Amino acid sequence: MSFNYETPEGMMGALLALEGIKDGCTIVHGPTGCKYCPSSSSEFAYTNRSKNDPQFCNPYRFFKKYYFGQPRIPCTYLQEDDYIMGASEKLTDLSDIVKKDQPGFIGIVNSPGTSLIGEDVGSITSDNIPILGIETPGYSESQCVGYQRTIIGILNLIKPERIPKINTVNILGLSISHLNWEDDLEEMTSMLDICGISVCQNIGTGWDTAGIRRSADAELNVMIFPEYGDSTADWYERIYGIPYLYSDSGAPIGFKAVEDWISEICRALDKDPTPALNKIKEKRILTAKTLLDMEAQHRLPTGRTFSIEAEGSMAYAITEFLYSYLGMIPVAIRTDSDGLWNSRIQKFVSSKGLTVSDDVFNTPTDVTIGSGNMVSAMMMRKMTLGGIDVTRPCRKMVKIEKEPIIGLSGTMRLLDQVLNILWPRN
Amino acid sequence: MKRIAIYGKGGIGKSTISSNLTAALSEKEIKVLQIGCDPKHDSTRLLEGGVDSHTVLDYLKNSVPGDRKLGDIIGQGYKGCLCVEAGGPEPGIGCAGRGIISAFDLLHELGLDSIDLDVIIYDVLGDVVCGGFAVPLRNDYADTVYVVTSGEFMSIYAANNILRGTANYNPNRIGGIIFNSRGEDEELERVKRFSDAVGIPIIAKFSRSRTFMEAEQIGKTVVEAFPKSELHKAFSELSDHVMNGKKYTARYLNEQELEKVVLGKTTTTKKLIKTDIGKTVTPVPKQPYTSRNVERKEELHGCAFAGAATVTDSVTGLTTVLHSPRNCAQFAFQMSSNAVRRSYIMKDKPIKGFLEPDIECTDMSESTMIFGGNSKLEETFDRLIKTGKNNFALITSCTSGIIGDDAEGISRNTESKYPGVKILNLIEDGNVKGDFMQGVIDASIGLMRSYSIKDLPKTRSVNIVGIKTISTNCISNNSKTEKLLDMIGIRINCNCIGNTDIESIKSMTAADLNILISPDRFALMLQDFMQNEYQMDFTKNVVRPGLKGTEMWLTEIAEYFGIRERAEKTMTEIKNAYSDRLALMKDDLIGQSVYIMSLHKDIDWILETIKMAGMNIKRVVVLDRSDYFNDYNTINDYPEIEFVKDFNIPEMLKDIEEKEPDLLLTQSHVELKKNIRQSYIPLVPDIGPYTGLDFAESWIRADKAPKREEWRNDVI
Repeated sequence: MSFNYETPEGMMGALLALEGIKDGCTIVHGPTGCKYCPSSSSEFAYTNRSKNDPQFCNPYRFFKKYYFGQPRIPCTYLQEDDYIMGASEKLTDLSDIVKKDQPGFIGIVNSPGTSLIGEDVGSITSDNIPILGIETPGYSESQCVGYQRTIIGILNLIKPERIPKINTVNILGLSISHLNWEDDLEEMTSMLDICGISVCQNIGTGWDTAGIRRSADAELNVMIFPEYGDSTADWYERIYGIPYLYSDSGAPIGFKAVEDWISEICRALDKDPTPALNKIKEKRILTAKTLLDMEAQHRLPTGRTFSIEAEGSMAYAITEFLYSYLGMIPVAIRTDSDGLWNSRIQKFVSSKGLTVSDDVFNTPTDVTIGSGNMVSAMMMRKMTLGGIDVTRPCRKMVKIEKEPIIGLSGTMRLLDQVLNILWPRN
Repeated sequence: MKRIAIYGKGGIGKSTISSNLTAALSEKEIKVLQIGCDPKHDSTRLLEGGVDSHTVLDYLKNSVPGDRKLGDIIGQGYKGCLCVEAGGPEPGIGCAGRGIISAFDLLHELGLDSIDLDVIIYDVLGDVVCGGFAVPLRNDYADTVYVVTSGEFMSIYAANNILRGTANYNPNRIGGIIFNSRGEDEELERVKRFSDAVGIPIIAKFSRSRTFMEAEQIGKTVVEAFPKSELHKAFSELSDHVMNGKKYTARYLNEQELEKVVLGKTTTTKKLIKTDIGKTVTPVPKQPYTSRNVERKEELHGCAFAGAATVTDSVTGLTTVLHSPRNCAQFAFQMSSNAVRRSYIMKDKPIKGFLEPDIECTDMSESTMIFGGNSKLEETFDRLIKTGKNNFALITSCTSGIIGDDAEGISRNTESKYPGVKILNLIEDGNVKGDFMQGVIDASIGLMRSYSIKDLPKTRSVNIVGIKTISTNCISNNSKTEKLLDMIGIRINCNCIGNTDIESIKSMTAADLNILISPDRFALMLQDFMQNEYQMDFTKNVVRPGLKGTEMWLTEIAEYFGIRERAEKTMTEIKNAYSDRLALMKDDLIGQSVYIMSLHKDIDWILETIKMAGMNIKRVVVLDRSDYFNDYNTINDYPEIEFVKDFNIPEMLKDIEEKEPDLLLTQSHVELKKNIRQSYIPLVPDIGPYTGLDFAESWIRADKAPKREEWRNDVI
């Protein structure tokens, strides 16, 4: 048994990269089966796209051809005849409908089947709307690869112009598929802000076409999840000479990882990280006090186990934090990212003399960290005491309070949940 | 830079002409790249001294992205010309057209565009059988197209088709016709007539000559091997034309015109002559058990691949093999993993198969698309069988269908190789077979065909037919049905098909009676199958929610088993409880008006409660949904229902506001100017006699709440 097909793949990465453009529209050139899941994901991932229109998800509005009850990602509903005869008429028709709304950007993605019949998604053009056609949907490659390829495609098409703004950064390496990405951006922006650094653009997450054009103004590119931003950062450096940073500590989750993240950025921009570091220190002291209380009751998490299924940089950061800071032991880690973070994780656990399985689903553990689906399955099979959702889909269906997954607040969230799960003694 | 595509019928001499043209250009120190776009990869052989070069697609297959370099796949030939062969799969497998697209993508990625060139020549496969081979015709590739033809009719026919194809993209870039003679009389005259008719000149003529063979014998082009020959002169003139010549608009002839021009007469008639052939033959229906989308050739909702997977994944003891890219596996798998999460949130029991999924995907990659996926599929089965698995359901995606993988053949071979292994083939090919419901039907019937043992002794039990595994209340509805049956002493034999295991499917025919749990076409198709194949008995009534609905199906089952009194006693108790509850609610409901706008017909249990509670119905509008029974009997009991094909939303909203009901029932919240209370109609209602009452109680509680909640004041 396995839960191996839980994580989204390259095609979803491409679609959500396009859906991250606030004033954009994405088309799937393919059957309805390739549209429903991404449409639904986009609706739930970016509910604030239409802030003033809470009804934008209402299916009655979109009970029409191409949309099939969903507001995002209309499709050309390819069927048997279309695979044989081609479907360019449907694509042209849908593109014309979409163009009428005058979006700032249009992205067209071939489904796997459509990519085999030679449909020319690049044939759709417009005088005033940039249109990107994605011929190859990624088939079985990981989400971060599909995502970055598409972001770079967007940038190659729009070709930002550069008017440098000092003390500004772009935040890369985040996508709207990441859980609570808006809260994450707010968290990291606020941390940068207190150190006197502004954010120029959030690459891929809620930027609009005007923002894309200005994205080369930043002085520095910084990353959240490097596997979602490294190639893009490399592109900016090659074309515009904008340097980039990502922390060797992985994603900024965990006290040290967050400290490293902000310190390295401040060092690069010659800014003082003290305001941010002071905030982190306050939380460290608070946490330490809590742990002392727990120690007095023999309820420390030392030696308790955890498993994690997430992208590599997040898995690495959380593993390092829970092991080093709390003394917890990883028993299973699974990532879908590239080899770099996998090998760092392996190196880390080997250096501590630990043996870690890659089968999260079948390894009993005290705490499971992953998607809401994985956590639910582990809990219902009584393979874990409790879980923490760090990736989509999430068990929480409604979220009012801000709940970053990363940064200082994300670290406190993680600690709070871990310690509560482990409160009962084993 | 000039970009030239050379097209023509297969075997007409395109590669010979292309390579000699390249040689002629190179002799003039023009920087040329020739790209062979044929899986045979023989376009540039003669330029490289007869060497069979490494193809782009072989390189794609065998190298890792980080190590790739352009120099590994570009060769250098006669007088410094550059040579690339796209390559492709073996004949009969994979998708060569896709291969062309991938080859061009790779060349672009490795920086081909930054090489300093004067001319690129695309030598394209003769029979442009799909969009992939037409890639050089796209705007960002060839700016000039030359068509090679002999005087044979089929060759000119192909040339005409190429002009038609070019007209679809950008028609204003035909460089001319190149005549390559077969050595027959009147060939040139035919080509001249065609040329005049389409307004495109013959810009080069090549006679049949042994010189080509002699040059080929020594692994060279004619231009290189015989520099003083007439052919060398002709190619040199062609190369001048390529560099300086005009372009023409692609015009083409229809079939009749073409025949008249080339052959001087028309043989094609428009009249279809009917014959008596096949009059007494009974056609075999392609798919006897179809969803409504498929039957009516409607727009397909979802794909059969995913529908089949939601059934097979819910059967424990069965391994589902998805022959697809991981993209498709993830889209399908999400349905079952989301169902687990919903069960957790609702504190409900999950479907065991979903909780412990046994799914394997063949992870078809770009390379698989080009070179075929048969071996990957075979390896997947070998690997799984070695771990001890022996019951499989194989489901194919659209990609495996398009590239022509022989999934059934692989299954047969695997079963022969491993006696005891059983593979159910669900060749859905994505949505080629149909929509999501078609996949559910195919998988359900397929599993019964594969495993059910005929004519087992009866065990005084019923089968529940039409299980919808991904509905949130699948398990709870199962339990409620079981509980009601238990009240009359009857047990469930098998859930057909979903949330079950192989042993239960095997014993399916041990049930005396079958009852549908869904009032839709999907369940009806299973019923048809089970009656035709196993002659099994079915109730007339469906497991329905509501008081009347429950009485009808429960009583019918009891009658069948000769225990009608037990059902009557049970129903009396239920009715008393129902009345008692209704009595407590009636005062709050009586006289209230209701407007119903429903996406499906499954609402009689609501109407029953509304009428019994003395509420007024303003209007009931129901969408005639694709997968429900055509003869669903709601309309008989509730003639006020209006069935519509489409909701005209603006009109309906206006109507609702004009009628101003106390309560609007609908599946999705509706934007209204007036503050009308709305309540949700479930897509799959809960089974049980009290469902309508539970629903009504929620209306009462909502009615007791403030007419306008305070939070609405905070809406900006």
